[in-house]
Amino acid sequence: MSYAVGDEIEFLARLTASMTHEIRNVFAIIQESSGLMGDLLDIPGEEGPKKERHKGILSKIQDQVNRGVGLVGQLNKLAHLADDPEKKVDLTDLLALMVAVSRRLAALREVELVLAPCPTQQVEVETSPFYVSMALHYCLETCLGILAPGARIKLGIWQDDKAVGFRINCEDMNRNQTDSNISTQAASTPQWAAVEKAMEKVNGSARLDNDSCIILEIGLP
Amino acid sequence: MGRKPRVLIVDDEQDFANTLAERLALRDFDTEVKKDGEGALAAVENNPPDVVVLDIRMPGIGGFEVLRRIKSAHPRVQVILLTGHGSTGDGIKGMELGAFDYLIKPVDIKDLMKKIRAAIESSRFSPKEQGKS
Repeated sequence: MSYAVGDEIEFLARLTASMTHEIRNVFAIIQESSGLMGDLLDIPGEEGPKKERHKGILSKIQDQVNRGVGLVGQLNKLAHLADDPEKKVDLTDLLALMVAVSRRLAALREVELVLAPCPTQQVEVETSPFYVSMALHYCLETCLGILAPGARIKLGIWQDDKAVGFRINCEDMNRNQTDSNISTQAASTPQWAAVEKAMEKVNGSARLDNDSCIILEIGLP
Repeated sequence: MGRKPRVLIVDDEQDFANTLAERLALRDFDTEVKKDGEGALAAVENNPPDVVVLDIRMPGIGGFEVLRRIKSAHPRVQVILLTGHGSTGDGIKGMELGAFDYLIKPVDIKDLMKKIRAAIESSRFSPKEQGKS
């Protein structure tokens, strides 16, 4: 089975990865410049509220540099997902990345994303990192689209004797009893078709495990 | 009193290199900045520093080639690669060519100073250069 992502995606991914390196250089200059201002403020001399205020501002700049570096690191990893049509993928790493990049989206919906404890042994599978991450993202979008504010999505690694994948469990305490169950509702959304399509690409499947749980099962080579 | 440790910073991002040099100077390092590989090799030949903080992707001679030439002519000069273009492959290649360490920008000044001091320490145990004391 070919997991190739296509020339267009490869082209965009390569350019994006290259630009993330340049953005790191920009953050490095901001960090060193604000660091130098901090160094100069630390030289003994005039003390006072102005100096403390400047230090507070520099601390905020540093926080945002750290935030930006984290985001650009995630963007770089996303871009490199298209490097290899197929490779050994550490599912725990990939899940952590996709949860990290989806946190903002979840926060806007007031839904909490929680990573379940990982298996003690590394879970690796030969597959397409691009399509697996795509399925995970659309699955999260599906859940976020139907859950009410205050809900929680718990994501973890799923495995049995024959297959590996992810378990996505939706916990919605405020859900109305008369609503259809979460799994059934998820399956009727347009994003669900995208989840199924991406999972088909990796010879896998997306299925509803019970009222509130979705399993993404990756086909083993 | 011993001489200050000498650090050569090589980076085509001049704002970055100059600011880093100023911060290291405030911490009692003797610093010099070069914006390309040619300038770096000439500076090392003229007055070998203790440590070179070297970018990888630069116009002209790239960082890996600069590293190879420095380690070939001056094995005791330690080189720390500091780049925004971080990848595992680049890190491995740099270490194989003799880099002391490989760091990705931006880096905390305290972490960089620790690496520089460790590099200086390790150069005491490096083989002596032929024909040089």
